[in-house]
Amino acid sequence: MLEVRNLGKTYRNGVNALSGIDLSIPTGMFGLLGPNGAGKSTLMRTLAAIQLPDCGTIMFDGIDVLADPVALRRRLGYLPQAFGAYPHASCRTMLRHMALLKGLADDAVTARRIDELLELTNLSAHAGRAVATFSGGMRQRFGIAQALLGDPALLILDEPTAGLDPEERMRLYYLLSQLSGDRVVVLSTHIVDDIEQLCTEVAIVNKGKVITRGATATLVQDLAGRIWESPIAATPGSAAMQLSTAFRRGTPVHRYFAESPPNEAFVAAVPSLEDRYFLELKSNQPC
Amino acid sequence: MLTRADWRGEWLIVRRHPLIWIVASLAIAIVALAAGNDAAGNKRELLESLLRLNLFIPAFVLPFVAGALAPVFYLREVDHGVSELFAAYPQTPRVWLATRSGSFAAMLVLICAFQQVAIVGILASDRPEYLAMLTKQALKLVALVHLPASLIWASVLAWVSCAKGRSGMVYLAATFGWLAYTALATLTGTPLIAGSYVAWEPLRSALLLADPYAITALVNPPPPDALPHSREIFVIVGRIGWLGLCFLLLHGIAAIPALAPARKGSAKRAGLSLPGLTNRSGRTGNLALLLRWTMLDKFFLLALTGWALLVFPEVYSGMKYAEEFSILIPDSRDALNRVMWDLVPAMGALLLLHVADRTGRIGRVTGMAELTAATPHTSWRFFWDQLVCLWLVALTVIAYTLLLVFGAQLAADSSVQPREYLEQGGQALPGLLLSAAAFAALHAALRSRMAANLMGFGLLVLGHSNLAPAMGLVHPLWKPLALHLTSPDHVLGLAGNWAMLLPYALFWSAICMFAVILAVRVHHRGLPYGQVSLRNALFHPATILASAALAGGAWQGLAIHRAVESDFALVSAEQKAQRRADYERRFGEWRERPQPHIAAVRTSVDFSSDGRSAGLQMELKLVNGTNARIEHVLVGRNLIDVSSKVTLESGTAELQDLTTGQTLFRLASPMHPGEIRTLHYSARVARSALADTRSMLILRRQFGSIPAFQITPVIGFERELTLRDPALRRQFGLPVLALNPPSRLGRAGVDLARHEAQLETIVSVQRGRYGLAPGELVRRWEAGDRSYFHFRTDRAIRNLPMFFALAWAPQRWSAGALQVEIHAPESIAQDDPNLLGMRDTLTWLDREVAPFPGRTLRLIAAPEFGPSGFAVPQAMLISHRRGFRPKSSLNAGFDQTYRRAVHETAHQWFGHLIGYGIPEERAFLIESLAKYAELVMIERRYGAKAVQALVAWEADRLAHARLVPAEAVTPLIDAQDTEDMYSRATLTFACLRERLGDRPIDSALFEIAAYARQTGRPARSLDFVLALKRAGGKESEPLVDMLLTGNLSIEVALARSGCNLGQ
Repeated sequence: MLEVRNLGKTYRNGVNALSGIDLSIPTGMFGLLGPNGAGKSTLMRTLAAIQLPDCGTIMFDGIDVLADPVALRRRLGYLPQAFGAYPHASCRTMLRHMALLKGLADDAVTARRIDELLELTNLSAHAGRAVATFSGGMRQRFGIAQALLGDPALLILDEPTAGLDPEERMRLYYLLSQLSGDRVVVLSTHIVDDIEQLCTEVAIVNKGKVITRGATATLVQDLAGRIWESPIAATPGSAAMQLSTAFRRGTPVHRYFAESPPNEAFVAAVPSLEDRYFLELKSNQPC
Repeated sequence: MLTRADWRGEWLIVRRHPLIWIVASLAIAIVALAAGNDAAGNKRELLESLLRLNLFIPAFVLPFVAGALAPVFYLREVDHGVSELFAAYPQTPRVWLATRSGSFAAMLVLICAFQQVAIVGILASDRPEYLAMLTKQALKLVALVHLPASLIWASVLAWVSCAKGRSGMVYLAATFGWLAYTALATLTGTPLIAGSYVAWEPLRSALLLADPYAITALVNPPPPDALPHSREIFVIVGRIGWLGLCFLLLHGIAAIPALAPARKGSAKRAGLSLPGLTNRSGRTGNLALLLRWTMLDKFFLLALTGWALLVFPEVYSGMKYAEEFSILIPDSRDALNRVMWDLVPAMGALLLLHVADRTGRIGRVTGMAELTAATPHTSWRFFWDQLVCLWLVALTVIAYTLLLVFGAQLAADSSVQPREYLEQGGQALPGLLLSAAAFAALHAALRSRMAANLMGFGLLVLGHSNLAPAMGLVHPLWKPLALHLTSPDHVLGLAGNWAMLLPYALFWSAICMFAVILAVRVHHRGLPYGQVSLRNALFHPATILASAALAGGAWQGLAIHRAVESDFALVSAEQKAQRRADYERRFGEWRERPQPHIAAVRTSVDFSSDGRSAGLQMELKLVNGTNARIEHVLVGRNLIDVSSKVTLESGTAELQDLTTGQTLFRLASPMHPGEIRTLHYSARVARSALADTRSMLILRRQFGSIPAFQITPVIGFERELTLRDPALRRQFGLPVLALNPPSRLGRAGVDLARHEAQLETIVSVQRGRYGLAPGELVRRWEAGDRSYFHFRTDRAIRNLPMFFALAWAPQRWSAGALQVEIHAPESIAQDDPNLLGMRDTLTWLDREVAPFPGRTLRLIAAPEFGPSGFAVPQAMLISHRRGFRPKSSLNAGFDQTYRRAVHETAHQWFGHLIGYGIPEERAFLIESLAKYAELVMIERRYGAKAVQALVAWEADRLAHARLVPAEAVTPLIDAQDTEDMYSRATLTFACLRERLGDRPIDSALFEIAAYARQTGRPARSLDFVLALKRAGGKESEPLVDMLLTGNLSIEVALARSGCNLGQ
């Protein structure tokens, strides 16, 4: 269990990145959803003990993360939003290097584990290639592999699907779905679909605050019968709240949240996490 | 076509880069500081200062400025990963290149222009009437020197940036350019670099045109046969050539990395796709990774190549060099000395700063920082890996340098002493290890890469230059990480460096340990975020350890401070000047008061067994040589500060001025004319292991010398201890010193007896060593583990005693009725040039000018104490390296060793028999007459051809000494510049000899010596001129006047006199 209490961080330029975040994250896949600039990456780096908050506490399995970051790092797997690679090192060499940094022995057991991770991430065929020459998807899979070194109890994945093509994204979903097991996996993204596909629990953050959290299914289920869609927008002044305007084969699709259809052009729609996400963002906008 | 928008766009970005302002401010501050320390009085000196400072800029400042700023102009897209973005913009490569190189060159010129403002402002602050002249000259220099130099650097670094696409390569190119030019300048005798010499004349001739900064053409006259015969034409033609080359360089730039799409795979960009690096079995430990990252980097490999190109030729060609026309039979010490104490510490530290940057920022550069930071690898282990990597690089630098020196020795067939390699390598290594620790700590603690590099560079510059002393910070600890080691000579050896190494290394180790512990506590782990709160950083057991290290450092620093303080080495030049000003202000009235003089000195001097100290007990007989009664006696401190005690017979200390070191004694009963009183003086002269040995006071186990004439108390007011420099006098509010120059000096009423004393000395040294003092050895005995030497002068001689404790027994020869003693480590042969020079000169001057005031003249082989030779009455010191070890080179027209021995021997007459006693007199009767002795002796010993060679050498020295050719010159007898006293004097006397012969000159010398002896009054330079005119006859008068008291330049004077000087 990862417990976050009253976490705050304000940058020197005045940006309030975290503002009293409270979270209890149980074992399993936990999604952190929010728009760009919501404070997700700051929160992830803070959870990974590589950035200091101004206030608050983080506890993981009895470890006071801020007081003893090294103890957390011994049980941590971290995939940052973006990372590079040493230019001269092959994928396998890089994994061996990272294993040593994680305190694993440079022995046959570790070598076997690296082989397993290469297999798991479908990188065995590319183990001799320099990571610096990998495509985006391959690099992300390498990132997952290095994060899994040492069998971490806490996995923090910051926007792991950013920039991936659909096929690579599906492959990554499959890989991540295999990981949750008995560990805490925190996945941050601004892509709602990622959470919907992978996470049983989700928190939506905006402007450094958690604006809602709960089981993914429950958050969606709460909207049943209250989501309406139409190719024509509702008249201004309507009591319905517009959630989004999307296009389907060139035709606009307007989705609204309301207890009853805004007008006769609207039909009931199946609610999604995206509807909940937009609803929370709009509901929490300043007047 | 370039538009105004291109320039505005460029300026918009550039002006926001802090590095521009930091570097520009530093560059201007350094030049301003140099200008502040460059004292200039008259118009010629001001112009020379302006020129010297302006030549200092391209040679020593511009390369660093250009190197630091070039990446901002040429590589900012690459460095910040936006080249792909900019490649899509409609700017053509030609416009890009023109904008960038144009703005860069303009920025460099702008910085130079502000430097001019600083220089002219400072130089003209004392002489505002020259402001317009200096401004005009400065503008000319900007056009002739700085504008072309800026364009050259802008073009060269544009080419390097575009060809290599890496900031590191730009830094390397700038450093290499600076070093290469420094090496060239050293080999072509530039006045900017102390100790530079013309190694190969064709090189100097070639640089008259090919010097990128035009320095050679500006400081050297054009060759006599050159067409046209004008410095400016050489400068302009050279600049046109260089600008043509710049155009070709810019034209040859094929691709611009800043406008190219980002290359896939930074392995290629880093140039590290070497076989074997991506193999599966490669070591993956962090240290191995850092070592590979560092040592297989192209920059590092190029740096090692450049290192070899610097070290090998420097050692191979320089190890034999003693001075012009003199070569050594070099050993490993000579070879290692060429590089181990200037190049290796400074350039090694610079390389380590680069490696610290590279290893400290590997995570950020490769984008791996977050991945590695999130691992449980502790900050301490990250740091330790980096530090060990840096230490291994330091070790590599030392080992590689030793290997190169060894190779050069083998190539030159020089004898190799392995122990010397071990010792010098062992002494040089700690400095680099400490620098490595400090730079690693900076890069670990500071998240800003630029701040860490700037601070590291600041430490490097302060530690390896004289910037701190120039700013008045004379304490040795103001030089960060400096261990104050120097090139060992063959007299004092390496022991001095070992003694110096331990205290300084301990101090800086403690400071570095403190910095390292702090750095590890606040290590950023490669991330742009702080990793620990201040509270956590402070309340941690490591803080106690850091505090302990700091306390240890403070303790050791205090020990160093006490040692240096006990050596009286913490008094800055400013403070010394202030003391002199106070002395004149408070006691100037004593100038006119009757005071006794020292007539006899009995001294007992005991050199301690460890050689580090000596006890002085003196009994000075003071005689009232005036016609008045004396009721008060002023006794004051001499030039060298020592702990001392002074008492005067029947005198009571009425006033003690601690600042100026004066004690005023009131006598119980007045001293009547002719009456004698005794002054007792005791002093403990000590020098710590940290004391500088480049002075005449050396106290070491291997060699001891005490210049007692700079320690013995001064009686009355001593004009020699007042300030003479007009600018300093103005600064301290003293009135202008109205001294008549020697050419307008009336007869002096001074009594020479006031400067003479009968000297009797007992020198005690450790058994097995030899004590020396002025006079004849009366008795020698042993008691316990001490040897005692009793010396006494036959008569009163000039009161400049100096005592020695030496390891070498005297080697004795006769010179007519006189005796010559030489103390040197080598066995002196019958035909040794020092011996020949002493014997020839003693015999000649004793017979022709005046009897030698003693029976024995001693020559002592000295360590490198500053000058190459120095003479006190009855003894002379000559540098062992320059006076004993060398032999004449193949191209030598005369023997430098013989010349120097003659010169120093001649000072027994010209300096210690005549030439003292009149404060207004300058150096003519001392140095210029000694040059005459050189001409006579060399001709008699080696023939007319050798004299011609000497004259040609001095003519060449004179031609190159003047940065700004003087239209009218000071009369020779009034001259104060060294080139006049020595070189011009040589040409003058060569002409006088050619036209008049030696007889009238010798006769004039005899006459003034006899005058001094008979009247007890000092002879003037004018007395010599008058005597020469009398001896040369009526027809010689115009010639003598023109050469000695006229103000025609020597070239004109020689031409008018009809002298061809044997050409």
